[in-house]
Amino acid sequence: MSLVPTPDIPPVVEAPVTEPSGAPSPPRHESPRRRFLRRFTGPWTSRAALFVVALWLFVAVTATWLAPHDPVVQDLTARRLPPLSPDHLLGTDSLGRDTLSRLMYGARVAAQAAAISVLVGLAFGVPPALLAGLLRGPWDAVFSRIADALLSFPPLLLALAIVGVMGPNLTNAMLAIGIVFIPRFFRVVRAATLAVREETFIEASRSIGTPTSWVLRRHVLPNVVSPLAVQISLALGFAILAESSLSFLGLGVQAPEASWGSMLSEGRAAWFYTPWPIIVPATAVVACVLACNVLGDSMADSVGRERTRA
Amino acid sequence: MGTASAATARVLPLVGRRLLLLVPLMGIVTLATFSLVFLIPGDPAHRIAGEGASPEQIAAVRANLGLDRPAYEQFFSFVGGLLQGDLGTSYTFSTPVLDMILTRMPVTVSLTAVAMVFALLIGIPAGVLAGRRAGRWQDRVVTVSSTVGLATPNFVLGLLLALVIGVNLAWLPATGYTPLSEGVWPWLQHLLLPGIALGVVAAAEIARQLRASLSDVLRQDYVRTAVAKGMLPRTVVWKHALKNALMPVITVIGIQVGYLLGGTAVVETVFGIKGLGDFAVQSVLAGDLPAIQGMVVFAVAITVLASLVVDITYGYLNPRGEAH
Amino acid sequence: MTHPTQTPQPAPAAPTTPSAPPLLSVRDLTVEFAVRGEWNAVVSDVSFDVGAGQVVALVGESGSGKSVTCFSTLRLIDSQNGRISSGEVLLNGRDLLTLSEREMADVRGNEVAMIFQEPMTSLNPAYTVGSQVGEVVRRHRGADRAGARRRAAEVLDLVGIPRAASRLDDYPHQFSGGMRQRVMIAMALATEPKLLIADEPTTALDVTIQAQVLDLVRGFARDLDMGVLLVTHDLGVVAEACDDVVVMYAGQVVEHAELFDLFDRPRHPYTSGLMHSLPRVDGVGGMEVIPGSPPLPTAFPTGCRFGPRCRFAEAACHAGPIPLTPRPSGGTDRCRRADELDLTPAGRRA
Repeated sequence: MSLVPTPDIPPVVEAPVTEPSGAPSPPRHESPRRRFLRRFTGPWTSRAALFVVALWLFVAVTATWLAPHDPVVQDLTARRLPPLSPDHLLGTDSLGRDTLSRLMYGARVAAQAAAISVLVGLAFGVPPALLAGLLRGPWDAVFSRIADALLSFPPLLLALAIVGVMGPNLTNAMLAIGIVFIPRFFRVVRAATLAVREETFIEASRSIGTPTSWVLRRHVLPNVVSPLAVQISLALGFAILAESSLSFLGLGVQAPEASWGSMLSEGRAAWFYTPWPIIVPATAVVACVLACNVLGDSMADSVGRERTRA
Repeated sequence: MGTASAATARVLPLVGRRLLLLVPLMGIVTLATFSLVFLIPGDPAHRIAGEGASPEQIAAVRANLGLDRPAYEQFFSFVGGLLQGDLGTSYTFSTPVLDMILTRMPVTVSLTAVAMVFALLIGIPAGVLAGRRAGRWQDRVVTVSSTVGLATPNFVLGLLLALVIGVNLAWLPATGYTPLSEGVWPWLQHLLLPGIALGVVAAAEIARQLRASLSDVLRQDYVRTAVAKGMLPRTVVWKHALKNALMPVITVIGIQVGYLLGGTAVVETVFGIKGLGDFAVQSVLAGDLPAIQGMVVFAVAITVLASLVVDITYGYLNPRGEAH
Repeated sequence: MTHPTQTPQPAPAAPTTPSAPPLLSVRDLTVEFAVRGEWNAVVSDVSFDVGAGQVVALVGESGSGKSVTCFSTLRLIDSQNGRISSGEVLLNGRDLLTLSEREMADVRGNEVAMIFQEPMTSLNPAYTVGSQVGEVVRRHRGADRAGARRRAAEVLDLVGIPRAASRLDDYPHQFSGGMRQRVMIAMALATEPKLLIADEPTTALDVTIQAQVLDLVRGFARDLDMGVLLVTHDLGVVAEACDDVVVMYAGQVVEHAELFDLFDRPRHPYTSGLMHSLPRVDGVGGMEVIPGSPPLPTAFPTGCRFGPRCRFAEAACHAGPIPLTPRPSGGTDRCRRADELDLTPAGRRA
């Protein structure tokens, strides 16, 4: 150990060299899309996250064909089998249901919840945002106030309340989660629209009477896509989290259907005999939420200007 | 010294402005909460009275809730009730909602406080470490753990903590709650695991935000000035840099208050704690409309209060007195 | 005349302080920065002295290594990308480069103070001016809160801040740029350091304020018998305030002389180029731009580093490193044709 401690105050004088250091220098004239792809697919973490999300969605779509067993059929002669048992790769739960099959159907439920809630969020969040951002004025004021108010509800509690009044089932859980997304999508899209609107070429093209729809398609949507993609990716993660939480509480999927949340809830009773009915779905939830978050973060890092860090 | 009063003078108008903005906000929130009744499929009275209720019971519910009156009248009586502190009466618990909330509040406040303290105790040092060592292994460890922390749902972590530490190892109780009046340790003992389960996400958020803002602040000229003045590293980081780096973190902490409150629903269920979260889940399972509405208004009020506190803190930290 | 091949010669002493060990003596300082894992010397073998009460200018274009040199004297180099690979920085005979971090922190702001180029960003926005000035006094003089506050009011008054005592509780954003630089100077002077390092202290200020700030620095150097190392790219500032001038180019000292001698008899084409790029009062010559731009540390020429931009360069200039040699009228220069070229203003006009 050195007697002279290295000063732990980061850079005081930057290297007086103007060239960016690090990875191979980027090609000079690349399109924003290519630049995004290069930066996005660069780190192994985002490739791994992409793989996990792809796997999740693939399993969700093909669960009916892929699952080795019917996820709700009980086999009391094969209860609480450990993983790698013959015929039950991930073992069985206390009712003898195949954990792998339930996991796959759980992936399907999570994917449905994610897809529907994001669609609800987009359908009710994006159009008012475009309107507010493009037209400003009273529409903007009204929509923005409503969005602010919706944002002050704690998200999980809002979903709970909506499920509470609409009745506990999966469809309502999905809608409730979707409602949580509306103000969040609204904000992002409105901000992006406003930013584009400030650009002079839009002012110019509007002043010569270009139809709003054309302005939207040609100028606004391309600029809205990337921040929205980041939000969607993060929303997918939250949707998985919220669906599993609601199902865990018995407010989403109803027994005997399988969801990662309900599997966790049911697994508690068997804990003393086998931890696997808990460990397997817990891993799935954490892995998928993690992958969605990492995907969103690396997308956020990949859009926008080149940032060189010494 | 005069600085404190100067800061107060700076902050007061800010608070006033915020309070003014709160009026329309709470108005919309109240309207939205009231409108929950329209989301009820079919006959609300029937749903609220529950399965197998007699026509008389349904009629009683309808009259009691005023569901037979025009919507605007219902809304005004809802608002009138709120203004008088009347949140209605829970059907499942047959108790005024406000009473329910007040009885259960100490439990949830304790839980949330333990979670927040945990989040700060872990999040701030971790964020400082990562921000100081940006790009080195310490930073990577903090970044990876906070990313995993963010992705772990409260109930998953709670379940694992309760089962492994509470049941298998039996180091701490896995369920229940003891009021503070029965001693600090019994109280804390019951809250440690749920507090950790609830606070991990907040800790991760705080660490992430602080890492970003601190590593940014440490590159600022005034930090170099402090070093050139001969300030010791700990003074440079914990005084000069941290006060500036904490500003965005305060915002995150304010947001986390709302998330913590939402998270209590799941965490209290996992740990069998009879607090507000449990009350919310019970009301939701029972479709107990007044209880749900009361909980929502209450939760939003707390969230809004938290953001007000954030603004005030911000005003004290930031001498320019700008809201973020 | 050609220079005899020289072995590393004893470092030249500052021209105007012949007696007593100088206050600050920088000896053969070499600083390297890592670019893509390769270490490049950004400052090579730089030597100069600053005596008590003396103002020494370190002049050069951006990228000449002058700022790195002055930051290195206080060891304010990022330890991840930069390192001081050899040399000595002697403060009253004590080598600062061998001190521990903790001992170094005791030197900074105490024996050696520093002011920076950007007064707008160099003060902490979250603390009052009084507390930032007082903090140095508390750290190095062990003053209590009230004592530090009194001292802060005193020095703020000294640097010419109106109603200084009433402004202690103001924040930096309530001051103008010039006033903030005065606060920086007050902060630096609060402990009465022996040496002040000023990194382009006037660059960010407008012209009238520049003169005031320079006067202030100059005056304190005289009154407090304080040495000043003034880093600047502006020969106008040099002419205004300095005793000795060290001209740097591409990490090397290219000429080092007493102020008037340097202005009257520049011997390095770069020095003369810098002088002629100044707007001149008499309108003769002036505003000539040196063609090209300084090389990057990754691509320093092997011969004379200024060679590629020098209008007097010959083939032999590019052959190998040019040593630093004594100037006839005192000081040093680094040009193998120095004796045959007449770079004096009169000579250039001819």
